[in-house]
Amino acid sequence: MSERNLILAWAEQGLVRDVSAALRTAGVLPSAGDWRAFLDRLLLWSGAVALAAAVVFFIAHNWNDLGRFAKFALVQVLLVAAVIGYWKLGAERATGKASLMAAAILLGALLALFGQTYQTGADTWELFATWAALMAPWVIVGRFAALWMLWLAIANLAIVLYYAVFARFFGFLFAGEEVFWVLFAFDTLALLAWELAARRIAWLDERWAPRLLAIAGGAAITWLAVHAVFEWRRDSGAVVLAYPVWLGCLYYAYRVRRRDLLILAGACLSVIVVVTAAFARVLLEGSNTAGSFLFVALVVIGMAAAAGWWLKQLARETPG
Amino acid sequence: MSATPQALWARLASAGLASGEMPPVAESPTPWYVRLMLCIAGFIAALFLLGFIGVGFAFVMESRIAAAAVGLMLVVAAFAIFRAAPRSDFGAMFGLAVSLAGQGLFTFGFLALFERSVGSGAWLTIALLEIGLAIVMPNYLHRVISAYAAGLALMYAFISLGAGFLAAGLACVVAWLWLNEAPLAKRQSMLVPIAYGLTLAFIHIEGMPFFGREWMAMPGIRVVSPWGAPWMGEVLVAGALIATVIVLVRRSGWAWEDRKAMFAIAAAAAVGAASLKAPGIAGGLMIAILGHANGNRVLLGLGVAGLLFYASAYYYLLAVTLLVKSAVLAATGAVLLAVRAIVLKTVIPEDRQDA
Repeated sequence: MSERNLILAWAEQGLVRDVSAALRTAGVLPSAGDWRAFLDRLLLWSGAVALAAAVVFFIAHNWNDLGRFAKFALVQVLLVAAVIGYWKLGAERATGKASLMAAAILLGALLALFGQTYQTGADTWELFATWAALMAPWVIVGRFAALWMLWLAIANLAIVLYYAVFARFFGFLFAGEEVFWVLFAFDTLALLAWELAARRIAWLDERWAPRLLAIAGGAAITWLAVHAVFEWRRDSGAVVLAYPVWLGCLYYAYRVRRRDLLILAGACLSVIVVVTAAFARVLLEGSNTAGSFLFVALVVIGMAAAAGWWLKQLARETPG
Repeated sequence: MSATPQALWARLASAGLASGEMPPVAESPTPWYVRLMLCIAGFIAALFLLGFIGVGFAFVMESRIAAAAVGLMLVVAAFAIFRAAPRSDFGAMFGLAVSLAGQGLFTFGFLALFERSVGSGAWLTIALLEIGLAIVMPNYLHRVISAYAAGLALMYAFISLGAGFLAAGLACVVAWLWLNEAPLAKRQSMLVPIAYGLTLAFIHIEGMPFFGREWMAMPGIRVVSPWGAPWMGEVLVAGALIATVIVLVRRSGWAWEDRKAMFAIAAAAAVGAASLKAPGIAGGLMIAILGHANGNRVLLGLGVAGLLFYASAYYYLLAVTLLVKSAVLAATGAVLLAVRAIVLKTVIPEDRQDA
């Protein structure tokens, strides 16, 4: 249990005289130095993101009163300024990283402006794909987890938009399934690469990023499994094999090799959803008896209670 | 981060803050993501329970009064389940699902009693019921959900009064609860989940302007000629942010006339002013600051998640053009970076580590 929770639990039993003083003694409450570092980061990032978003919104508005050269000049000057900012402020400082992040967002604004001005006839997915491709060198040089996550988010968006366009022309039979397979494969491979790289590269070792990737991949395959349950006639059925393999890999990676309870909790939720969908389909299709509803409800409660019990046991074994 | 409980107890004892033998260490609190998983599962189970009642006891659904009455009975039954099996995981989950189904059934029947004119009185009744449940129900997750529901019901009550902006005043309650976490520690197992629930409701309410009026006018809500604009709500939030900063400044022992205290308060006011046009900035920052002040990383994460949500949802805000939004964002970004410069140079310069 964390020191904060220990002190609060003792305070509830009336065993600690001055709770604020106790929290301060334990070093739970921030010092002036902690406050300085916290406000530095919070205000730097929210400010940098707000400024970059301001440029994106400005381009999106497509203001006619401002000529195209003025618009190009504006975005390009800001882009160059952000890159120079990164170079001058230093790659290892937070201000430098924020400059590079702003430059990456401005690059997207520049590409959007290009498409808007010359009416290239390109699809939206091409904008995001080009953005991801052109940004890639900066991402590699940047050595910075949040920038990698921005890149992965843009790539995800390009995949979704690509299928949104092509589903209309062909492949309408599989398109619904295929985009989720591609997203699942992309995010799961990214997760694998991230976890392997994080063992050697210190700046990649931030848990929030692989967790988000695991959630993205998990959401995709959970959707596929539910799709297979309800649309089994039209489903390729590949998920019947892939889903248990995926669960097994997660168990090995986050229970056996290392502990990540958040990802395990997500996997439990995925299993609950898929099993519930299967029971609901088998029991409720055709015959809507009250007993079937009650049975499915009890199954959900039983699975959730068991998952909660298991995860709490693991949490007790895991320090921190 | 974690010393052993024994070492911590010894340190507190030597500082004269605790005495006697160390008590047995209580069970660790459940991590937030396990609670989130249980919460989602609870809602799924509640839906199937409602299906069970709808199919097996159709007459309950057909009569509004029967639905409300059975709903209340289910809530009472859930209380009995929590009480009968306080340490059982299955019991807790079962009680939660039964109570959620009961609350859904009650709300359905109760609101239907008002036909097409659900007024502030009806929503206030639901808010009071949820506040009561948040206090009485001996279950952490139930308290979070009930406090959240109470916050939203209160918002709908204010909207039906035509004063939806007052809902943003929840910011003051949220700030007060978190700032007084230490003095209120004796009641923490009740107040902490309530504070989380109200914080979630506040983040939700702050996000409401992004979805336009249609979304606010839920079916059955009678919107009496609205007076007051969303910016008035943001004034309340800005006030809560400034009050939070004042409390924290006082807590670190800075005198009023001290230049850095004045700078800190002025900086909060500047952020609050920026938030009048870009809703959510002051609210998100306030929650992040409260989280940091309490050493509570979950609360800090909620604030940052709120900020990210507001920033991306801002694009879809209907009331203003993208050009205006662009100018607002540029000004907000400039204010935030200027505030950062002031904080780093004047309020907490590098050499001062004593506060």
